[in-house]
Amino acid sequence: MPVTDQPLKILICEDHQIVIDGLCSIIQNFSGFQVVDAVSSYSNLYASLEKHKPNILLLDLNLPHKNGMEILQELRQTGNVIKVLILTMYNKKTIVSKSIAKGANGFLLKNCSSEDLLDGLKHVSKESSFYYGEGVVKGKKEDPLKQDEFYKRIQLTPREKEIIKHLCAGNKVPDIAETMHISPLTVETHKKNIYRKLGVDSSIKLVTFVHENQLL
Amino acid sequence: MKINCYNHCWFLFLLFSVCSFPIHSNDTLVISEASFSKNLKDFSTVFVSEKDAPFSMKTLHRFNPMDDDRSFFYLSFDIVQAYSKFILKNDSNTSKEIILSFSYPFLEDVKVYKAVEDDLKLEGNIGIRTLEQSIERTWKVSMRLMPNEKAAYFLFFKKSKGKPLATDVSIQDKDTYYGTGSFQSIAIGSYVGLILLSLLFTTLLFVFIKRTLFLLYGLYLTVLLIFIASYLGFTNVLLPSVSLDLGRAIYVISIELSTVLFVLFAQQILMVKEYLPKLKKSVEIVIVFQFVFRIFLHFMANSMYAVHIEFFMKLWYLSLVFLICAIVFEIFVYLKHNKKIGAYFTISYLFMAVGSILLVLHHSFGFLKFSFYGLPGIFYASAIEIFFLTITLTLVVGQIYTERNSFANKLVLQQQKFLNAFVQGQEDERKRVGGELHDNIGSKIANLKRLFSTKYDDEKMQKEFDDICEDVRGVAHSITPSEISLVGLSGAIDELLDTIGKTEQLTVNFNTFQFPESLNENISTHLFRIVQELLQNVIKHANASLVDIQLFGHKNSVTLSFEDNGQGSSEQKKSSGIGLKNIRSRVTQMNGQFLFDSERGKGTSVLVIIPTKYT
Repeated sequence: MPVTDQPLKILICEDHQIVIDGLCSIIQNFSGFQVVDAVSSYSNLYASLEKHKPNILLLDLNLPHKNGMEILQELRQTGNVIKVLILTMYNKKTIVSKSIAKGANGFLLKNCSSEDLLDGLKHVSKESSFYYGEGVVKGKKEDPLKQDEFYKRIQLTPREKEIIKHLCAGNKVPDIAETMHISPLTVETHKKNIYRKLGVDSSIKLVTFVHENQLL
Repeated sequence: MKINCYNHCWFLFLLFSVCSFPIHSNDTLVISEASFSKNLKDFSTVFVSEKDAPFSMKTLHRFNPMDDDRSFFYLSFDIVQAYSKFILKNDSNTSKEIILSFSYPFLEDVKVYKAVEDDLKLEGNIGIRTLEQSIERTWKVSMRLMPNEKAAYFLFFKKSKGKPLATDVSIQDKDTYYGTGSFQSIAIGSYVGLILLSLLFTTLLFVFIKRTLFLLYGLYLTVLLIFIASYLGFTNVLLPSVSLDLGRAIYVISIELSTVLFVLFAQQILMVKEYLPKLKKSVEIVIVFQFVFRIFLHFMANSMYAVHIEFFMKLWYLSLVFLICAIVFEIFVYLKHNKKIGAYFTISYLFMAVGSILLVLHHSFGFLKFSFYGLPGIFYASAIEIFFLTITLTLVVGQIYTERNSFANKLVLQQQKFLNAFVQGQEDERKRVGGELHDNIGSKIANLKRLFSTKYDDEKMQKEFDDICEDVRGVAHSITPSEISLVGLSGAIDELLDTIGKTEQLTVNFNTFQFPESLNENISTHLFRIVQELLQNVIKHANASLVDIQLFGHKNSVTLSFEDNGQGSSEQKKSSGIGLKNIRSRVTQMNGQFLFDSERGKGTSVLVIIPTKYT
């Protein structure tokens, strides 16, 4: 355990007093850490940050007015480098991944043990890697193929393929609707989606794109 | 005839006849032209008798002259016999065929005699009592005049007491007679065409819009057609010669029945039930009374209560006047509420009423000449009446449709409102319960766990606490995707697909294309629920192996595209399922559009378009 002259200051941002009390009572047993303040929402967070200049922020995600994710994003956008340890009931891949993306330093579940909390606090105070609390699901294993933006772009659904065929044959929307027995609005919407998907804005560009990439 | 106003007229006629006696005494018609058409009444005098006796030259003195100013023959209730003498003189060198025709189809017994050397030679005998069927619809007697012949004729009427007789008698050459006949045929043909068209129209309406109004109108038209047909003499053509008298019964019943039907029809179209419910009742009572009473008068009273017949007739007229006034009042009330339909109905009613009144005046009182070109005025009046009534009915149909549409719209809107409120309430409640579970209860249990763990180092108990937390989390999540606010719609859908991927054999491709990250949470929640609902449908019913979910961000809208390769469904039934109804409600709440197309064997494609610019 690294010995420091001053205990690391912790700020808790959490809207349930009982949780704050619990955390305080646990952390006061940890040497090297000290809870300097607890705020219940976004509105008095900045004043406290200014006043106490804490090292670590224990941040709940579900908060009134502005949620934890937004607060985190705002902090990072304003260049605040305070270590942020997310403390939440959510245990979801997407939330964990997003927290990482937004610049959090660790992720703890609210039902974590005292040891886990201590580990997390210690980890974020000195390591730069992300801390996964006990039982926290790891972010999605990214599928390299699927992540490929271009590959994703040219994945067409059967219905879209059918409509592209008609569009490339030079058919107009009402005619396509009639042959496919669907409403013109449906065809129009699919067409709009296809344009958006393939990044084209005219039927000529569509035909060129389809031929160049051999989509059909 | 003891009706007051008639007495006045009687007096006037007397006065007039004294002044014009010389004209009437000249009862000779000199025929010089090839074609001519004369009204017999214009140059002949009528002699009447209230007693029944054989008619011969010797009994002529028992008849009294009846000088009147009418242009037609009118024999009032009490008269039993009447004759008219006229002289025809052929001024040309060719023989002439002359036709004497009668407008009234229910002549009982009419004979035409030619005076030959102080004796009477029968030229023709017509009428429903003579049992000689007429071949044409109007009664006629044809006579032949030799070149330069001058002959005296006696037209002899015999009728039953209690039934007035009013008829035009025209005297024409053969060609002119058949010329007018062809005009009449065209007019009658047009009339029948008009009625049949209206009948077809109202029958169709009754089939589509099951309202008694149209049925009544159809019945009215049918009975009216029968009435007009009998009045024009078609019963004489169609009925077997032995039962020609039935024609008059048909005439009386059909005219009465048509009045009843018209009144009932008027009650419906004028919505009297709504505006004047009390009047409606009395009108209905009176109309039934009138119908029964008239039938009684015609078939029984004439023989049984001949003395009181005039009093009875007065009663009958009274009820008629009451009905006419009642309907006029109803029309005025109705006009206040509905000008257009009311106006058309008023026109048709005007013709109907005037036509009927004239008919009664003509037949019962002998007022007014009633026929034009050989056809009775009621014929023209009823043609105009039917024309306007059919227009009125068309307008009523229009009104019914707009009413129905607006009513149906209201109903749909109401339903929509309920469903929207339900969906919104459900969403709010889920959010509240989910949030409560997640934040409050979850946090408290977590805290409790730590409090315990500081005191007791018990792995098993900690595991138990973690399980509870996991359960609470699971329940909270199943109720509400609270993480939408944290990770956005695509994140929430990712999570949803994760949980589905664990249990279902279903490949789901989920992609977003420039879908806005910071989409209105309300819209996101709705879209999330829609995806959830659609996925559930696919899992339950579609038997699909592949689902494509795509979110597109457009300039002013976002689009959710959901496709599966399942069995699809050709029935529209599916779209009325509660799940899809729920989706529709959500889409409507977002002012969006829901496009659902599915074909058996071709999978299902759903598009949800939500405008974002103004939300």
